[in-house]
Amino acid sequence: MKKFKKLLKEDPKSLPSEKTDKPIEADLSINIDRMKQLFKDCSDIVFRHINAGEVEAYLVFVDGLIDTNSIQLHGINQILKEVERERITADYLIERIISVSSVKEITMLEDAVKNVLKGNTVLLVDRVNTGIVIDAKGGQRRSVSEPETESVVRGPREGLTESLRVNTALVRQKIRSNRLKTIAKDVGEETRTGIAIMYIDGLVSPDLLKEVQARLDRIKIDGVLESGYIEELIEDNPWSVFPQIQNTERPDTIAANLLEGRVAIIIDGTPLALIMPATFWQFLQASEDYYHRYHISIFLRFLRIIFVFIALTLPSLYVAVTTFHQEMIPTNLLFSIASAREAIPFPAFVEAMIMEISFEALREAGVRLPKIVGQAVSILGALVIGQAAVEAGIVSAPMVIVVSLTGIASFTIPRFNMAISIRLLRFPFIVLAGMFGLFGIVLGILILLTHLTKLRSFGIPYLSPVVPLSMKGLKDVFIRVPWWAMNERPSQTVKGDRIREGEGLKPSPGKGSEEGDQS
Amino acid sequence: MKVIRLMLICIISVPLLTGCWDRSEINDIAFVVATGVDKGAKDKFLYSVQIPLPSSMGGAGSSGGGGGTSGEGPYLVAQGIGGNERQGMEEIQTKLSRRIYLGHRRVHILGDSLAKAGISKSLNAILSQPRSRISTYLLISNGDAVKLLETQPRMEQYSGEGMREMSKTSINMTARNALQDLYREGKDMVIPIVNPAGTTKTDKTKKEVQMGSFAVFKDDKLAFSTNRDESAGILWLFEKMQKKSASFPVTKNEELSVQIFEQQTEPKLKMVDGKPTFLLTVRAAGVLFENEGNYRIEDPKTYRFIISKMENQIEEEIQAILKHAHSQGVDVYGFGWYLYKNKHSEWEQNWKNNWRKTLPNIKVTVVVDADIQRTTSIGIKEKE
Repeated sequence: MKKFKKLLKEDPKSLPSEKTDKPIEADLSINIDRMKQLFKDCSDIVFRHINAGEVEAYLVFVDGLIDTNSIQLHGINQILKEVERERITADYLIERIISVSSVKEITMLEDAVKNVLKGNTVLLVDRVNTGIVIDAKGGQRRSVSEPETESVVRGPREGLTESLRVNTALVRQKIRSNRLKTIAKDVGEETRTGIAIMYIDGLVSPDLLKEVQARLDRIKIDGVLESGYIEELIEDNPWSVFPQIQNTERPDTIAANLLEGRVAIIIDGTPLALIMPATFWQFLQASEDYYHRYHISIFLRFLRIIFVFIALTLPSLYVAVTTFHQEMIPTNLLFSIASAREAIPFPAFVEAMIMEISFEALREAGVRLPKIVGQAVSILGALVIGQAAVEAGIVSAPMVIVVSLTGIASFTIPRFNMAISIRLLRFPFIVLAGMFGLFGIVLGILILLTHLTKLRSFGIPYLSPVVPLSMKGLKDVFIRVPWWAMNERPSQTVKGDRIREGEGLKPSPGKGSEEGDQS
Repeated sequence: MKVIRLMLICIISVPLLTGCWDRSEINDIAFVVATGVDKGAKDKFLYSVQIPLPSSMGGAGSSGGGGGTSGEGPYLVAQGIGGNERQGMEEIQTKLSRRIYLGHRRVHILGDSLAKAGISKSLNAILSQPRSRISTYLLISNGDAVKLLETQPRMEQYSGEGMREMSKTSINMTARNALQDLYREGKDMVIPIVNPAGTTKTDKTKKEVQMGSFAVFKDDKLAFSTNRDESAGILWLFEKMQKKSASFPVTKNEELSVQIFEQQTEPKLKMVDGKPTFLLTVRAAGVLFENEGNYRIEDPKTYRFIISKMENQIEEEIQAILKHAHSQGVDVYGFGWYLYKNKHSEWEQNWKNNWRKTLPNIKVTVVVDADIQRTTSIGIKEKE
C-alpha cells in the first residue's frame, strides 16, 4: 500500500530533460554541430546543406513530416536563385525570399529543435543569429471520414481525424465566429503532443476556463498518446467509475457543446476530443436528438432512461426475485420460469454470472477482432450461448432473455464510456442481489445515488439540472423541447449571455405569410 | 490505513454474517396453488394440496437435460392429517422432496363436512401464516375438497387455476372478504360452492368443476346452500350481475334474456314504530340478448310489459334469498352491519344481542328499476 501511494505521487525530478536553451549563434557551424549533437542517431532528421553563392545555409526538418514540395519550391529554389551575400538578414529572407505563407523567426536553439519535431522546417543561415521556421507541414494523415463510434441516421457524416489542425478547422467550419478561441498547448515531456483548448469567448465562464488551464498545466507526464491520458489526469474524482468528461468524435457535437458554454480539448494524434464539464444526462443524449424532430427525441430519451435502469438492474432483479421473493412473480409466469429452470444445475446467481461474463467476453472478443472475424464471433456466440446452452440444459431460456435484453439495453446508451460504466456496475448489483435480494439492490441503488449526487465535474453537480433541480434546465434532460422553445442556454454552464434565440420563433401560418408578402 | 482495514473488515463481514441464508432456488420449492381441508376422524383434519409439476407445465427449455419432476398429470395432489393446518402441512412435507410454499395459493377449498362444523380456525390459519395470501379465493366443496383438487379441467392445466378464474367472476370471495364478514356484526359470510361435474350429461368422469350455488353461513357454520333462484338473488344483492345474463319468462314458453351491464343495489333505512324496515332499490340496465317471442321492444307498451316481468323476476329472486336467510336468522345482505354503521348507538342498545331473533321480523321491500337500453340484432322480423 505504501509503495502504491509512492507510485501515485508524481515526481517531477524523475523526468529527464536536456537543457538546450542556448541562443542561436551567428556562426552556422556551431549551431549545426549543437543540433546534430541533439539529434544524434536520429536517422529521420535531415540536415540539408545549401550553398548559394557565398551564402551557406542549412534546412533542418524531419523526413516524412514536411510538405516536401513547398519547401522545394518556396524555400530551397528561392534561396539558390536570389541570395546575395551582403543583404543577408533574417528579415530579408522572410520578407523577400521565402514565399511560404507561414514563417516565423526564432532566436533560441531549443525553439528550433521543438519546431523541427513539430514538423516544421528550420532554416539556419550563416552569419545570421536567428533561425527561420517555415511552417509547411505535410506527411501522411488519415482523411476526414465518418465517425465510427457515433454514427447517426440524420446529421453530418464527418468525424475528427488524428491531425490537430484538421480537427480545429472542422470545428471552425461549424462556428465561423471570431469569438471561437483556440488556445494551443503542448503536453508531454517527450511526446510534446499539441492540444488545443477551444471555447467561445463570452459564453464560457471564466472560472471554468481558468480551472481547465490550471489542471492542464499541472500535467507532467512523459507522453500523451490519447485523450484518455488527459481525461484521467484532470478529472474531478479519479476513483469514480462514472466518466466526468465527455469524449466525442463529432465536430458538430463539439460545436453544440461550445455553444452551451463548455470547453473542448482537442488532442493531436487522436480523433477523440474531450468536452467538459459533463453531467450524467449528457451521456444519455445523442447528437441526433437535436436533429430529429422533437417527438422522436423525447420518445428516444425516455426509452434510454428506462433502458439505463434495465441495463443496470435487470439481471440482479431477476436473481433477487427468483431466489428470494418468489411470491412477487405472477403465478403463471412463475411456472414458466420454474419449468424452464427445472433442469438447470446452477443457482440463479451462478447462472446470471456465467451468462453475463460470457456476454462481456463475447463483446470484448468482437471489438478486438478484425471486423470480418468479429461478425463470425458474434454469430458463433449467439448460437452457442443462445441456443446450445439452453438445449443442453446448462442455462435457462429466461436467463438468456434477461441477459440479451440487458445487453441490448446497454447498447442504447449513446456514449460508450457511460455504457461500459453501467455494464461494470451490473456485476456488484448481481452479487448484492444474490446475497440480500431486493434489499441488496435497494442498498446498491442508494449507494450509487449518494455517489452520483456527490460527484462533480469541473464544479458542476453531476446530476444537475435534476439534482439540484432547475426547472428551466429540464427542457433538455428527459425531454427535448422543440428548437423554437429552446430559448435559453443551460444555466449551469453559461453565466452571462443566456439568450440563445429570438422571441416568437414558433412557426405558425400567420407568421409565414407576413414574410411572404414582403418578399 | 487503519481506517481502510477496519472498513474492509466491516464490509466483508456484512455479507458473511447476514447475507443469502434465506435464499431458495425455484427448483427447491413446491408451489402450492390450491389447498383443501376436510374434516377427518375426531378432532383431526385432512389437508390436501395441489402442486403443479414444473417439468410437465410445458415451458420451453425444460425438454433438454432431464431430471426434475414428472408424473402422469401436470400436477400432484398430496394429503396429510393433522390437528391444525401447520401439522397437516408438515405431514405432507414428509412426502415431498421440495419445500411447500403457500405464497402462490390461488384457492382454498373447505369441505362441506368442515363447513358444517365451523371454518373460523381454517380461516385464521390463512391469516396467521406468513407467505399465505389473504387474496386466496375461498370455496366450499360439495363433498370432499380433495375430489376437487383431483379434477382435471381440460381448459386449464390444473383445477386450481380454473377455480380461481370462476371465483373471480362469481362474488369474488377472498379470504380477506370472508374474514371481514365473519368478524363484522350483523353480516354473515356467503361463499361459492363448487362441485365436480362432467361437461355433458353423459359425461360421468366428473373431471370439470362447476360453480353454481352459494353456501350461506351463520357465524362460521354452514346454514344452507342456495337453490337456483336464491343464487341469482345473491348475485343481485352483491352487485355482481355485470356481464351475466338474467332470463325471465314473459309468457309460458317464451323467455327473454338480458345481459346486465350496469347494476346497483342500494339499501335505505326507515324506522316504523321503532322498528327498522329496509327499502332495497335495485337498478339494472342491460342488453337484450335473446328474444324468443320476437317482441317489439321499441313499442312502449310492449317494453313496459317486458320490463315489469323482468322487475318481478328480479324481485322474486332477491326476496327468495332474503326470506330463506332471515327465517334462519342469517343476515345475508348485512342489514345489521348497515345499522351498525348508521345507527350505531341504537344498534348497541337494542339490536346487537338479539339481532338473529329480530331478523325474521324485519320488513324488507325490494324495488327494482330495470331497463333494457340496447338490443342486439333483432334476427327474424316479428309477424305482422
